[in-house]
Amino acid sequence: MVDDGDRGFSDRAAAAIEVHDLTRLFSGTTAVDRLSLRVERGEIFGFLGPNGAGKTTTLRMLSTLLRPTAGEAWVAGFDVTREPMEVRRRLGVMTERPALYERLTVDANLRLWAEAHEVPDADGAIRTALEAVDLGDRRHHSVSSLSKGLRQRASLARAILHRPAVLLLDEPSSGLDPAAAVQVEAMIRELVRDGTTVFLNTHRLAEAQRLCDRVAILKTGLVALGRPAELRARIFGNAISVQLADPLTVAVTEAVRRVPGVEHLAAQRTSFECRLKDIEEGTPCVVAAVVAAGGRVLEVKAAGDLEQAYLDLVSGDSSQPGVQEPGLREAA
Amino acid sequence: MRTTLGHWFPPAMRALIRKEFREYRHHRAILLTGLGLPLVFMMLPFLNLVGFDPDAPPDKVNLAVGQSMFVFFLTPAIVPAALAAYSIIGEKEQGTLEAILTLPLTDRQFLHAKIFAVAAPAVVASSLVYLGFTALSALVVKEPLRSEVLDPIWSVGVLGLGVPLALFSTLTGLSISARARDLRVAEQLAGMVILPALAPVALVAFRVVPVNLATWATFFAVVMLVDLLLLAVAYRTFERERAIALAA
Ligand SMILES: Nc1ncnc2c1ncn2[C@@H]1O[C@H](COP(=O)(O)OP(=O)(O)O)[C@@H](O)[C@H]1O
Ligand SMILES: [Mg+2]
Repeated sequence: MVDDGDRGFSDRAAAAIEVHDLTRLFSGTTAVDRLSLRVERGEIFGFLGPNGAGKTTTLRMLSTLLRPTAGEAWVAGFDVTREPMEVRRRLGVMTERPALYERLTVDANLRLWAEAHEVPDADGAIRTALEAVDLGDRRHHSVSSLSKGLRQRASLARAILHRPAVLLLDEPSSGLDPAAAVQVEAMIRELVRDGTTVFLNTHRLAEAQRLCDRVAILKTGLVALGRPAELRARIFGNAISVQLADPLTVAVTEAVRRVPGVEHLAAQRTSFECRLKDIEEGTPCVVAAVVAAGGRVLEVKAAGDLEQAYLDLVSGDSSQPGVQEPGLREAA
Repeated sequence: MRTTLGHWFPPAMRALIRKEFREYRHHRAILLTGLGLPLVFMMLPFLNLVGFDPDAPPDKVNLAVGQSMFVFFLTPAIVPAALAAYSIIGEKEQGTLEAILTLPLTDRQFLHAKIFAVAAPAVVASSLVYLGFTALSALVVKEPLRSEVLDPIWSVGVLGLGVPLALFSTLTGLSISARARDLRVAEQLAGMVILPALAPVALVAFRVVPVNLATWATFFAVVMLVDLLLLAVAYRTFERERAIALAA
C-alpha cells in the first residue's frame, strides 16, 4: 500500500506526520495544548473534535501557515519550522473554504497548482485528478458556475494533483448533503490506495468512524487516540448489541456463550447484548455462532449511544464511565 | 540565463504571476483601469496639443507641453492602484490566500510575485501609451510644440521615473489592500495616498523646477528610497501569520 520510493520523505524511517508537544497560543488563549501524535504512511488519520477544538490551528501549523508557540512537528520527515519549503513541496492541502478563483475555469485553477509544483505533464495530471473526483466534464467550466459540492470536489482535485506525500483535509465534507459527503469519502478512500497519507479534520463522529484507520479526539489537548473500534471499546467496554428477526432461543444463547472471548451476555426477547474481550475479533464469531444455531441476525451494533458518549467525552464530563478507562488520556 | 530566471522567478512564482494575468483578463473593472484609463490619458494631452495655438509665446508652449507630460507621470502611478487593491482583497474574498501560502513559496517570493504582477503591466501600459503619444505628436503636432514634445529629456524622465512611481503606488496599494475589507475603499485610499508622490513631478510639469537630468536623477533617487522603505513595511505586512490574520 505504501510506496516509499517517489514520495520524497526525508528518510525511509520517517513517519508521515510526527508531532511533539505542539502548542499554539493566540494572545493568551491556548488553541492547541501539548499535542503529541504520530501518523504512519498510508494511514487515513482522523482528527476529531467539536468546533473550536483546535483542529484547524493544528492543520495550519502542519501546513506551515502558523508557527507553533512551542513543540515540534515534522511532515514527511521535515521540520515545519526549520524546513518549511521542503514541507510545502510534499503537501496537498484542502482548506476549510474551497479556495478557488471564481473567475477562472476549473482547469486554470488546477494549472496554477500543477505549475507551482512543477508537475511534468500538467495536462495529464489535471485530467487524472479531475477524473478521480468525477469532474472531468467540468474542466473548462468557470468555477462561479459550480455548486458547493462540485467546488468541494474541485478543491480536492487540486489538493491531490501533484501526488503529495501527505494530504491535509480540513472538514472536506462540511456543508455537503449526506449523499455528496459519502461520495467525497469514497474518493478519499480511493486516493490512499496509491500511498498518500491523509490527515483529516472533522467534527463528525460518523465520518471519522467510516473513513479513518485511526482517530485522535482533540479538545485543545489530546483526549483519546486509537482505532475507531478501540475507542468504541474504551467508551463502551467492548459491548455489542445483536438484534434478531425471531425471539431468542436457548440454542442461540448457549452457542454465543461458548464463543471464546465472550465475557457476559444479557438476553432480551428478540435481542441480546454481550461483552467481548476484543470487539473486532469477537463480533464476527458471535454472528457466526448465532447463524449456526439457527438465529437470523437483523443488526449488530456497538451497545449504547456512541454519539452521546463522544459528546460527553469532549464536553469533559468525567462521570462518563468511558473516560476512566485505562489508556485514555484526558485533556490537560 | 535560464538559471538566473529560475533564481529570481522560481516555478511557483511564475505560476502565481500567470494566474494573476489570467484573473485580469476575466475582470472587467481591472481591464477598464488597466487598459482603458491609459488610452484616455493618451488622447487628452494629444488633443490638448493639437488644439494649441502654435504662435503662442515660448513660455506658454513650454507650459502646455509640461502639462501634457504630467499625464504620463500620472499613468504609472494610477494604474497600479486598482490592480493592487484587487490583488489581495481578491484573495481574501475568495478565501484563496491560505491555500496559496501552502505552495512552495516563501513569504517574500509571494510578495515579489504580487508586486511584479501589478507593477509590470502598469509600467508596460504607461510606456506604450507614452510612446504612442510621442509617435502621434511627431506626425500631427505643429512646430514649435513638436520639437519640445520630442525633446529626449522628456523620454528620459517619463520612462525612467515610470518604474519607481509604479512601485510606489504598487507597494502602498498592496499594503492598504491587505488591511482593507472592501475593494472600493482600498482603491480610493490607494488613489489618495499616491497623489502626494506626484507633487514633485507637478513642480517640473508646471516649470517651477527646471527640466534636466539632474532633476530626474534626484526624483529617481528620492522615489526609490521611499520605495525601499515601503518594501520593508510590505515585508512585515506579508509575513504569513500577519497576512492570514488580516485575511480572516
Ligand atoms: N487567528 C486566530 N486568532 C485568535 N484566536 C484564534 C485564531 N484562530 C483560531 N483561534 C481560536 O483558537 C481556537 C481553536 O480554533 P480552531 O483551530 O479554528 O478550531 P476548530 O478548527 O477545531 O474548530 C478557537 O477558540 C479559536 O477562537
Ligand atoms: Mg476548523
